[in-house]
Amino acid sequence: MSEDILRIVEEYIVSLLGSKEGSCPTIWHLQKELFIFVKMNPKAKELFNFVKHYEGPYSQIVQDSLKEPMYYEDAFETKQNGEICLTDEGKKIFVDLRNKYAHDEKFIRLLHSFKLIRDIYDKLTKEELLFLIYVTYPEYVELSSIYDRLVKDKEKRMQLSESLLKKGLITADRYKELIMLVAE
Amino acid sequence: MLADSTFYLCFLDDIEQPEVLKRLLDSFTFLMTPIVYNEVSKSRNFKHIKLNPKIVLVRKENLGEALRPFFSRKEIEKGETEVIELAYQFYADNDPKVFIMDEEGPRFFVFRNLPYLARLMIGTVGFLGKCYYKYAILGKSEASTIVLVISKSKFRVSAEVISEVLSKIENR
Repeated sequence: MSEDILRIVEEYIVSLLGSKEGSCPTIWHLQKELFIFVKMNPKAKELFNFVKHYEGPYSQIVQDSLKEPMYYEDAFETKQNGEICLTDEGKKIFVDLRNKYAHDEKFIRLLHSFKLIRDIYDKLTKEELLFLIYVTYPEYVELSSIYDRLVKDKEKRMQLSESLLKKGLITADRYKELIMLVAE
Repeated sequence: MLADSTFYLCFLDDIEQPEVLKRLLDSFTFLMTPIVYNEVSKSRNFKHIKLNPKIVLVRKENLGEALRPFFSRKEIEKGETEVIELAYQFYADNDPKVFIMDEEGPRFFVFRNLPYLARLMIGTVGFLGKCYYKYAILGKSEASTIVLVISKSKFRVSAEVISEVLSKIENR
């Protein structure tokens, strides 16, 4: 893996974490939020190479960059409760990136996309997140170790759909759609 | 200005008064997203606005993708996710645009999850009211008549909204 690619992926992670105040709830959120970003921007597909995995779409390079960053070693940390956030060093790196690319329309759009994604996806629990990803992108179901428990299990699926509706995270129409899938 | 397909189809199909839509297009430029264009172009009355220069097609791939998991297929086909995401992009670029959206579910989603966009969101009937008392595009009786015609058409809008907008028109 070239150093350039690793640096770019780490910069994406710093930018995602810096795009909004507060921590990203879990490593699953960070993975899936970048997956959604790739869905919005297919040109980034090759960089992240999301594959089917036992807990939804998964990018090895994102995982490696989080666990053992090569370029920005002290930029982000995982707290004891699993939340991921920028360190003070990471916040400085984020400000540097933002200043460096202040006139780069693509970078500004990227930050906006990250903020939109985090405004919504950070509100999901891990189970709600994986549930919605599986029902929306069924091509990632294969190899899953939790699809049966989250989606095929009628009771669990009803529970997750109701929880999402109560939180205002899905529309009533989407709720009906999910419930109808249960009945299929 | 942005709008979902429901807005255009209200004038083209539900009340079959494309001339009202053309009047609105004389005053505003409407950015039309790909799915909305696809839906609206199925109308037999689309010919009335097809070549209107005030409709600008937004050519952006994968618009609405971030919101797809949260909306039904029907809502996505009406262009709701595209319009909300595009409205968000303009807002984030400090170029906020009013967007017209009537479906209750998507509107509630915006209020709940993207509250900073809510002040830019308006329904078709509310917008028509403003076309009289704010933008002076329609006359008083004209605006009231169109709202009443809409209330009797198959366009879905609550009696409360109709009454509220009629009252605003009447009192300005």
